[in-house]
Amino acid sequence: MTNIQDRPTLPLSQNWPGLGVLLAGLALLGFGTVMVYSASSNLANQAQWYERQEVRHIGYAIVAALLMFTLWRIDYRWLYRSRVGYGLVIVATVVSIILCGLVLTRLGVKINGASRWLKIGGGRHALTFQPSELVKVFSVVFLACWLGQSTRDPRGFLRAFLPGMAMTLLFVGAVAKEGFSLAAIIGITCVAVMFLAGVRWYYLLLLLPPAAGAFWVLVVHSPMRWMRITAFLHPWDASIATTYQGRQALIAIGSGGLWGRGLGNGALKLGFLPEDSTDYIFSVICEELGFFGAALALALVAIILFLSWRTAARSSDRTGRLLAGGMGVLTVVQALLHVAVNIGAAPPTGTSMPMISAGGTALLLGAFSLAMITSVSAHQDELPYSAITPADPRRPRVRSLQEAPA
Amino acid sequence: MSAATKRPYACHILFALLFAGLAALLGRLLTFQSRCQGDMIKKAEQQQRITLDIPGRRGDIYGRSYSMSVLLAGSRRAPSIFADPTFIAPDPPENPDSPAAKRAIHDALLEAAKPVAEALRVPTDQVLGDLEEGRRIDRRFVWLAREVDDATVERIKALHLRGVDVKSEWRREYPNGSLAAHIIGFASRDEKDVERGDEGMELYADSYLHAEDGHNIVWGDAARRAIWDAPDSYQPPKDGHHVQLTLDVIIQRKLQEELAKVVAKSKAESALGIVVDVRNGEILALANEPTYDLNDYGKSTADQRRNRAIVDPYEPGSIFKPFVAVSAFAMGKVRLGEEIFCNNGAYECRAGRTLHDVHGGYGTLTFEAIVFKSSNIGMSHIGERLGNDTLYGIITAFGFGSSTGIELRGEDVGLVNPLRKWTPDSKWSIPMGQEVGVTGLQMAMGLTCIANDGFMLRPKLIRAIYGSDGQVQIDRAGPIPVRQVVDAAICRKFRLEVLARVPTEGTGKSGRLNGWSSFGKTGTAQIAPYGTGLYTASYMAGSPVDKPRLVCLISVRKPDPHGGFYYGGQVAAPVVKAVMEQALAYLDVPQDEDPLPAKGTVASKH
Repeated sequence: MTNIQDRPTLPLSQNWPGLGVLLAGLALLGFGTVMVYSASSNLANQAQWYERQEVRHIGYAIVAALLMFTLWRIDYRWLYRSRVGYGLVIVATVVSIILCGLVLTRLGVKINGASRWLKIGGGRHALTFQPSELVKVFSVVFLACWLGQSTRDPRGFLRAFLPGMAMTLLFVGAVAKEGFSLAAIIGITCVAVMFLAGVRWYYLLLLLPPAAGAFWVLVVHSPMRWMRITAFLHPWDASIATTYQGRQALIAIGSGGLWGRGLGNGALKLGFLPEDSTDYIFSVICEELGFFGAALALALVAIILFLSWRTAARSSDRTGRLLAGGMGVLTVVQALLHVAVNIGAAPPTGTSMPMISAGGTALLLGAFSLAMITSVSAHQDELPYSAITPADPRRPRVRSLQEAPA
Repeated sequence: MSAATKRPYACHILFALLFAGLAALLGRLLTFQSRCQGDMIKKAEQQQRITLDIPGRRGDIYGRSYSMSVLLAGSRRAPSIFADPTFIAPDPPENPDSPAAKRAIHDALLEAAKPVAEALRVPTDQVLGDLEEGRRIDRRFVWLAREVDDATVERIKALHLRGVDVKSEWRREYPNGSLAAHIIGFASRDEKDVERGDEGMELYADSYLHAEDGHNIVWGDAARRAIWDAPDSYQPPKDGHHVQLTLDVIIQRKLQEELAKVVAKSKAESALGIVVDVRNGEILALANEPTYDLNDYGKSTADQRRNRAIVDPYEPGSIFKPFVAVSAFAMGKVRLGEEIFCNNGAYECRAGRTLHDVHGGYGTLTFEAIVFKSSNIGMSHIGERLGNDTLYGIITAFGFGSSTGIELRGEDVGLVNPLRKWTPDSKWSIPMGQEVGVTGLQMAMGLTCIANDGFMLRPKLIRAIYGSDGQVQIDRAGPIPVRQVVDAAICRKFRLEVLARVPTEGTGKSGRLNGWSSFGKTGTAQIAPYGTGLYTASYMAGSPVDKPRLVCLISVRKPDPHGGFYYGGQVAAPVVKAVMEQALAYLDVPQDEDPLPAKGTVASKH
């Protein structure tokens, strides 16, 4: 095993999949900033400029962009191969679960009937923080590091599948109270990570009965969630109160047509469409920029999906595959659920669009997720030929295996 | 390195699934956005469209003084208070049908209703009821108080309540209160909140006075705040036309004052008075007592609102005699100076029916004296000469039993039985004004016909109609002819020789004008059932005799009979005198007679 300091980092100039992920993320950030600004334009009722959602969003977006272009340099292998790194991952995962528990105490802030936030500071300058986003990201990081240990055989039932499932259940349980969609996203992503790790597919069938049980307990027995299912089945029935958001979203999307009403010309954001800068930002995009604008946003998501797939498939170690693939799945599943809810293909449930919706915690951790994909593509034991032999003198010199020990 | 990392099938399967999901959503998006754009835009516009009503102004009603217009009914801007109950109590995030949510809505409405009710000076329950009703049916606009005063507006604005605001409307006002109340009538808002006339000219000329509200369509946000104008949506209000009446406020006021006085003095049930311009049939004044204040019509009784002069037929009594007399004279059935035996005051015209003269028994009277002394027996002899058929023709020719065509709703045609219902007694009863029902207006127009040399005119109340910009739309100058009833020369002779002697020698001496010649007829009609001591005391007169300008009728119903003050000559004639003298002087009609000697002094012989 080589010394950690000696391992080379492939620069972005030679790492087009990694650079592509970061640029797609940056494009989504810019796209989101413009759309959040547009959606919030009728809410100019805050006394101070720094209290305004769109101004805060610009700040978060800048920090997120800086984070993306910094954090990719972290060598993901350090996280599972060194004691310190692995310890840090475990601590961060445990802390995020504990913070999720704190949300349910008096420290939590309730917004729109859901408690998902912790308050930092007080009064009008308070920042809110969403620990469930931490759980989302660290569930993937933890599972990738744990399953990526060279001593572990992920195909084993007792050694890998059962403990993995137990931890998945722990993550899902930590956020279940905060929102069904969050739990679903984390559950799907964790199962996807296990599937990528090589868990036998027929083991996964064992998950169906507990999943059905969870659906029964969390949805059928919760009148509010069951009403949302009803609303999903009858989106145009105005007598069902929960159809309102879905109807408004459909009106927004439909009235955009192919080319949209033009940026800033949306009408549904004028108080008709609730949560227009977070859970229903895609509807605003569809209304103002039309199908082609929405397709552009989805194309950026597809780029991330493609590049994370490529990175995962070509990763030389299991943790790299699980980390890149898991982060890709996490980002895309969120985007898919968000779009599906917006166009009425899924029951209305609050899901933000990664890298686009307003929300500081989600932006920062989304940036972290994308940086991890780039990190995997930039830190491979078997580097591409060009990185090792600088045959072409016009290419910039890179730190390579040959030069490192000198 | 395990097999799984070398051949990443799981990776390919998983990401292919996600790509498929992405593609499916994109396909759904494409079909929905390309197919449903029209429908969705329509839905979006539906919830964004706010129609702002711009209230139209109802037309004015004008009276006049000489040829100048005087405002009788008009509209001016007045503030009203409205609320948006859904804005005050929005849907809570949880299920709005749950009891908790209903309680929250109720509490929010109650919290708003308390200070508003205090500011409006009405019970809280009333405001809360309006708000809850509006909230229940999801109406975003509820009137809380209409046409309030400025102090109330200040109090409401001081509350700074969101969802309660002030909006200006047109308020109908009647600057002269009860002046010409029965002619003007009043307007109110119907169940569709449109201002419509209810009575009088407001009702009759409603199609002219009525204003169409304009509107402007704006696009608003969810809180119903206007954001953009919809292009080409502004439709200006169509203001109502203005109606110029023939009423002269100076004469009208004098008439109302005198009627009020006489009703008080004689303790009568009611009184009516009409002044007509003989030259063109214009109604210069028409009043009833009791009357009411138009600005406070809600407190009036139906009895006060009755326009008795046109809707209440009554038995006219002796006042009816001139119409039969002039016709008999024109037909040659009787001559001037012809002496007729009046049976010494008791004429048993058939077994079981004896006619009496009121003012004592007369032996033989001339035709003229029969009229100016108002002999019932004399008139019954003339009736015998005419017969039922002719009498029927006479009274219908003077317009009795048919509408005069006055520009007001609800005119009664009076009561003239069809000829087949007449009895042999009718030829005695009709000439003395019994067995027939007439309205005050029919009587006044009948005398106007005699004053106008036998030419019947239609009464005219609307002088002109102006557009909302003040330009004349319809001008109705000049008389509206009906028909020649009696030969002009004979009618004139009858006026000069017979009716002119009523105020000088006959029963109407107290109605004799000071300075102007006049002609007239008194009437003291018993009110059926006869013998109860209830009368209608009337006097009608025209002046000057030679070229009449004005005709005035006063009828006082049920003056208190105790004390003997109930004869037409006593009760009604002085009222006519007061009104006519004022009106003639006001209209600058030249005096054609020496002034009467002042009471209590000896007339100078020099």
